[in-house]
Amino acid sequence: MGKTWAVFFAVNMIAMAALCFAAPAMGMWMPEGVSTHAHDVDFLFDVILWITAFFFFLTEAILVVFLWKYGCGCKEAPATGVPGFLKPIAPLIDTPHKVEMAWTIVPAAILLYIAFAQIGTWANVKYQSRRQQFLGEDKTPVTIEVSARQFEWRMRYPSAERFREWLKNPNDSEVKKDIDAFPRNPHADDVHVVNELHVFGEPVKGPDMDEWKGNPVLVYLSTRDVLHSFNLPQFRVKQDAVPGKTIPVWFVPTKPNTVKIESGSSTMWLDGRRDAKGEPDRMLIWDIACAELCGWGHWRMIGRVYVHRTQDDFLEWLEQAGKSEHGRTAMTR
Amino acid sequence: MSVGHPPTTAAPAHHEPSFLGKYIFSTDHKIIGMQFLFTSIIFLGLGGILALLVRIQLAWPHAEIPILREWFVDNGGRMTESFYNMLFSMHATVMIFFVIIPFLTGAFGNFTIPLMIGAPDMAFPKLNMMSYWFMWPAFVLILASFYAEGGAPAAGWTSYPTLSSITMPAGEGLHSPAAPNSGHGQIFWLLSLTCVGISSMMGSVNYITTIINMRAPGMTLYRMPMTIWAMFITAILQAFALPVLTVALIYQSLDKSIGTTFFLPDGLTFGNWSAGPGGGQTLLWQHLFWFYSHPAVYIMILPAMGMVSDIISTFARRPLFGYRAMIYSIAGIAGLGFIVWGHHMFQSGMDPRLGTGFMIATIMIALPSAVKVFNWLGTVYRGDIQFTTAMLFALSFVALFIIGGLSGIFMAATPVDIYIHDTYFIVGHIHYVLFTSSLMGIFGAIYYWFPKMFGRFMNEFWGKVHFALTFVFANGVFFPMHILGTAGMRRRIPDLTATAFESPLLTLNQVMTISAILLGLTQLIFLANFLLSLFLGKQTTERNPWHSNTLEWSAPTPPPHGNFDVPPVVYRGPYEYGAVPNRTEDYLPQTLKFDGPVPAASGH
Repeated sequence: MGKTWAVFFAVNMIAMAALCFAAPAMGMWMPEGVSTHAHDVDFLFDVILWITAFFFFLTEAILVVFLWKYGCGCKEAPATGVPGFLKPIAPLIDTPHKVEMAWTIVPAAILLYIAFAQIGTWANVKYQSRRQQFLGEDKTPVTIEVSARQFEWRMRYPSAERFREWLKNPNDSEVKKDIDAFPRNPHADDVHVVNELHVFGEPVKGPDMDEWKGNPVLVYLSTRDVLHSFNLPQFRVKQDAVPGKTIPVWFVPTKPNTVKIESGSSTMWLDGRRDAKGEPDRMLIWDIACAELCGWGHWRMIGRVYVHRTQDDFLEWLEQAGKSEHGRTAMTR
Repeated sequence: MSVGHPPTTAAPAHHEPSFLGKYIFSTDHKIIGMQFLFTSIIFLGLGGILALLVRIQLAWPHAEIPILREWFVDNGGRMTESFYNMLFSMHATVMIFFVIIPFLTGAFGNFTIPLMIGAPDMAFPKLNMMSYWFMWPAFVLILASFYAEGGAPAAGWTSYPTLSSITMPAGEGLHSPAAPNSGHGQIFWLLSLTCVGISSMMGSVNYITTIINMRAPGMTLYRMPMTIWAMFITAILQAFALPVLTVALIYQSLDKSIGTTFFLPDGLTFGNWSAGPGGGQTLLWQHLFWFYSHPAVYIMILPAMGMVSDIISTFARRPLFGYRAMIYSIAGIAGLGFIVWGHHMFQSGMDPRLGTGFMIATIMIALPSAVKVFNWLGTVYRGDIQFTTAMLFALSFVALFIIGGLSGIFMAATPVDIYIHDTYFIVGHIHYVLFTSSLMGIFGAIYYWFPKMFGRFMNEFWGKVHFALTFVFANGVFFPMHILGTAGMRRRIPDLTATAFESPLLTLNQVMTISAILLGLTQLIFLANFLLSLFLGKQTTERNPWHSNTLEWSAPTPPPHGNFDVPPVVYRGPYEYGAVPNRTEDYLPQTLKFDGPVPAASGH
């Protein structure tokens, strides 16, 4: 009986492990990370994955072997004169305290390592005190107020004119103050759009023309109805929006996904593309998918992230958005 | 050495009560345990049906669902989004508050505690009866919420404000501007859970008192079986955590009914409707709620760990490895359990520096959990395993708790949690802990104690069929959830075709749903086995069919009112299995006065 059940447990465990190994190949794994800290997050995920995988195989294998070995109903004859509970359990466990010490201290050390390995990345993307340093002191972040509502994302940008001023004097203390006060200080010429987060970067001059550097993004997140969660899976960004609070969120993109398309008199920006021609690539469509239950429309509270290839593209879009009435500028799918 | 009361357990002379007195208004802990057992099984069915509807919607989001089609003619034959939100909210509420907790502390806590410590009954039998009867208003209220205007609550089992709590003033009908289901249904929910809380509190007080005061002579604390240790520590957890939940529930009820603003900040706007002045904090609810509900996660697993320890030791015919380490690790889990609630709130807007502290405490909980797993493996080592159905479920608890424990580390790590928070990863984790661990432990306990409860065995063959199919299909539905979460699929969405990153996951969801339906059908085998065995099962001819050491097996089967015909006196620890010279049996019951070699403590 024991061998049958040992095999039964083993087959199930192997099937589950196999699914884990097969999933990435089937396109069911973490999407490619497209922010500077995504690499750190994915690395930490992998560290935990390999450590837990090791202990999964270790403990399940021990269990299966024990079921196989001690479940046959053919227990060795009891050692003479020694009751079972006094019988040395094994050479290994002759001194049980040592074994117990080992299996307490070793996991403790590994767990402490896992815990402390997280702190740096967590601090970089969440601690207020690290924000300036993480985004770069001499950079002007794209500053956006995102106000979540049932069931849409309302974005407010500074006007193109004002943003140009900021870009020119990134280290000016007045500009820094202006950026800090942005959520409290709406201007008449602010640009409002819905469900579209537009940011940008710039190709970097160098031997390899494919290099591209993102401009930092600073989002002031708020809501006036219920909880929402600002969730950009590809950017490894997630932050709940809380009524009564304004929460800063920051990241730096590492890849553009938006191209400008001129058709006749109008200009459009399309995401999901590397160039103006060709079909959109699903891996380059980046959703803002609300991750905190916010009511019946929660599942379709979806926006898009548009990462413009250049600063000029972005500024051109911002100018056009400032003139637009409908609050919707890019073309979605 | 603390010893319990002198033997007062000689079967008290009493006349046979009427049917009503014996089975309905009973003060007998065993009957109360069975009352909890039967109602939990009924609610398990309800919760399961809600879960299957969730799974069906996820797999075929745009299809008309046969029977449901008639209810949703206006919506093109498909369930509405609010209905879907209601399904998963009520599935979780029912499973947590009306199935797992009552199963563990209500059914098995009641049945095992007096029997395993050698007491004639609980310390407060009438309070015990009250604790069951306080469940009835909760049952009525939670079922009534389905018929309330707007339907049963749909704000998740966590009921985060402001979605759950914002309500129009009473003059405007107590409707919610945020969601149709957050009006009357939510008020029923709050009242229902308050009653569950009162019931649990009565139970906890009773369990703590009973275990401290009513142990048989010789039953020292370190001779108590793990089941009792687990129930004891769980009762302490419950007694200290529950008041906080009760306060939170009352605050939210007041917010909804008389216009307080504990959880409502200033400036809330819903469409054209603006709420009055606020001043509250939505995060306060999350802190209060999780201050209870995180310990509650351990309330939902520790008793199962205790019962599984006893089952494994019995059927491996080995002393429980590291008995004291097992106790200390349960205590460690419970103690740490009070300072980790913030790990539910890493992305909530709570100060991220607090998150760092909560992360370290949370990751360290894996340590006592790991020690327990190693000790279970050590118990099986060089054993003589008897593959009864109860043992199979207990072994599967160990095998699958490993997965649930390890997947927790991912979410405890704050940066990784940024990505997997509120995805199917957490759904997979909770189901590995609560279904494939706790519920497997509960099934094991039912097969194990059924002969003592009812004097008959459950059918072993069908029990094993039930086990094998449950094991396969539970893994089939819950394990892929980790993959979905890693791919970013959000929880609590009825339709995953809205985003580019979730759309490719539809096929896997369909496989999982088929697995879930088969898992549901498998439980019908259990139900039939349970009900038929009550009347037709093989009768138990001996008091101790499993050759177990603990006290309940020395009582008559089924135990009469007052439990023991011979007042038990305890001479030894609960796990002394193995061959002993001058003795044909390979076990030494706790009541046995045996002059063989003096056994070492069964732990060290």
